[in-house]
Amino acid sequence: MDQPNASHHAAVCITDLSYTYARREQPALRNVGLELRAGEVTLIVGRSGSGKTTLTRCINGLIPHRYKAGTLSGHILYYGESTAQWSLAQLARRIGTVLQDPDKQVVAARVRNEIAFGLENLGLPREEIIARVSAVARQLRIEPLLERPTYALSGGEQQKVVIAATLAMRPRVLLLDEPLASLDLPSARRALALFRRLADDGLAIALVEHRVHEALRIAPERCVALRDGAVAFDGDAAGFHAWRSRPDEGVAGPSALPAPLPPEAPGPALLTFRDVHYAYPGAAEPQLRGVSFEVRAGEVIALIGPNGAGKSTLCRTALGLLRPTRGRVFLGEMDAARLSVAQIARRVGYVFQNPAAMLFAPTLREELSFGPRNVGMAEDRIGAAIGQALELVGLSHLSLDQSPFGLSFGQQKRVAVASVMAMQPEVLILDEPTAGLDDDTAEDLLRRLLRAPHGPRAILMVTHDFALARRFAHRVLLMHAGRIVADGPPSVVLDDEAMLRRAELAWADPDVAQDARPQGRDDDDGANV
Amino acid sequence: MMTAQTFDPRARVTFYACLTTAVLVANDWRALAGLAVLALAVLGVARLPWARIRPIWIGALLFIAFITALNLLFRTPLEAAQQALRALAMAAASLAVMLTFDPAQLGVTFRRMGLPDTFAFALDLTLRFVPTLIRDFRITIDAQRARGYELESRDRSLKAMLTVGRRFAPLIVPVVVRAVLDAEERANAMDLRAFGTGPRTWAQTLRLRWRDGALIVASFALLAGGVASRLLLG
Repeated sequence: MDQPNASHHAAVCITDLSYTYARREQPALRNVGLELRAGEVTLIVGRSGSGKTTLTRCINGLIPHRYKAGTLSGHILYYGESTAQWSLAQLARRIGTVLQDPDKQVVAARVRNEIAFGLENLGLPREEIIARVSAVARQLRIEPLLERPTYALSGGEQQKVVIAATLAMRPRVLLLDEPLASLDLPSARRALALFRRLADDGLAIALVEHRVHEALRIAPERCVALRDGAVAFDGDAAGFHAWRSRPDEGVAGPSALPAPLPPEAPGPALLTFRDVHYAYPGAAEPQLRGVSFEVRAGEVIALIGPNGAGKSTLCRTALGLLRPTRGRVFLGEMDAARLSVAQIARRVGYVFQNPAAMLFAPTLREELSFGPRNVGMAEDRIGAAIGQALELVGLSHLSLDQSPFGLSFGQQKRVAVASVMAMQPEVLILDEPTAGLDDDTAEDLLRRLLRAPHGPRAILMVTHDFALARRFAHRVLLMHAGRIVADGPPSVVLDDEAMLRRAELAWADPDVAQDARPQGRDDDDGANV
Repeated sequence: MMTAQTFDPRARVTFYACLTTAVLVANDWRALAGLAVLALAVLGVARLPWARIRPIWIGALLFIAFITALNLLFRTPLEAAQQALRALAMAAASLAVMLTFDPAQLGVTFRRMGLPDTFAFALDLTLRFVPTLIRDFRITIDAQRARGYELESRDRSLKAMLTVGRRFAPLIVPVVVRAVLDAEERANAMDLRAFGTGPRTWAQTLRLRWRDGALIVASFALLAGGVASRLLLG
């Protein structure tokens, strides 16, 4: 591999870069110019559709090698050398990319094979491949994972393996496209600490991320904001803070948002869990171990906990998708054991994390009327119900004859919420409402749900996002190993560091804490743990 | 201890291919009985825990019983017995291969058997896709049930039966759409790691020993026996 002269050139220098996808009129990128430097983390932010992913595709060569039909102009230099004529193999040796979902990048059945995959494709000698795999495993401290099957890895472990597989190719630039999207808080913070360490070791890192307040914790040297395909801000983190809170940017700083008011008086219990246990068939350990709590009218409850704590299992028992092996769930006064899932769905709505899991119909009208029709809503009420639901999520401007598959991810997520809200449930369960959405879009969606007259009477949201829990929840339930281990106001539960540590949600690893704590700056959005 | 897993995967694939071909070619009940006994012996040598294979065996035996009962309605008892023996041999051999094969060796096995890189890796990837598809399908079932969807229609009218395909659209469409989108992302991830840009190295090695060679020879002898039984015994 060449040994570029790092002292004279930026690792990547982009000038006047524009790109328009085939069959699109609007360019995805417009005259973008920026630099990535060795030893620096450059944080790239922007709303969904602002051009972040397109930018990474231009840098790593997917555009134009894979997306050939679009129109590309401008220049990309790698240490002063144009990449325009480079093959994907040449680019892959120099510029590594980690995509959003590690699960979709893993191609081999075993970790050792996965890390070796890129090296094998480059046709390196077998002995060198073996040496590099061992070296990168040692560097990232994942040697114990080498013989594990890849399907058995946790999200955080998968992320590390994917990064190891990329680093094994010895790139000098690392592009990270929303690497935190599928990670719980501790895993996300460990990943961030790793990115900081890699940059400090000399890599040039571009970190594209929606979880801005988390990404800012590793003190990126540079922040770039994209808007409508163009660079709206390019400067240091302090300047980015000031720019982000300017009212004319239309991006309210998280701390400027009003905290939700607690309900004036506790309403009646809408959903009650009483000593609920659940064990999956054949599992050695139960997933839920005596969960008891109530969801009362007017409440917004954040359900937090590490991956595998039992959060999703708990939500599925609320819907009757899983029936408790012991204990009971009540809807008001009624025992849910006597009701079918469809009957429960009239009162408890459940929005899954990924809208792609449920969207199927050719038009929005069919998609939104699917739920109401299934639960037996009168035909003459369905039109009004879907109108209210679309208004609730801020999509009333869309034509009902439009296909949900032509919408952006953020809009699809709103359609998924609307399709559940069209059934007019009393309690709405949101599984990771912010996953895949930029902070502002996610907050706008939640504000609308909380303030609309036709909104749900109570919300239970599963989230990894502590900042979101602080801003919107009246109450936080902390789950660990199938139990509720804390239940109280966000200011009490989320500040109890000892409790969070016991629940594997705090800085358990002193190395990580040392690596990733903000340097010379602290977030003002209450996201610190 | 010698178990099926200790043989080189190429020898095992060759044995499985020859055994199943022999089972398909043979038609005499004695030959089929011998092949079924051999397949059961191979399954025994695999030393799989009974708890793991019990549910699959029960399903397979119920299926074989059902097929045999159907055959008895339309064919002679001997023909039904032949079909039952054939299905039993296939089930035992398939179980032995599927449950003992290390997925991490699939690609390198077929590459070393002469298939091109891309084809060998495609087999590897297909295997990885299956659990992902099953997981996505389960999530979609739950997501649609949470919208009041019920798998079984209460409507028993002719119209409902004719539109049964349409009823499954809420389950099939999201899974297919996700699979297509995921495939694009996976292809991007492979391109970004230079897949298909030139001749590749397979870091994993396989080693044929004398007993693997003996198994390969025996496999072809078995195949020849199956063909001979068809020609000589009918």
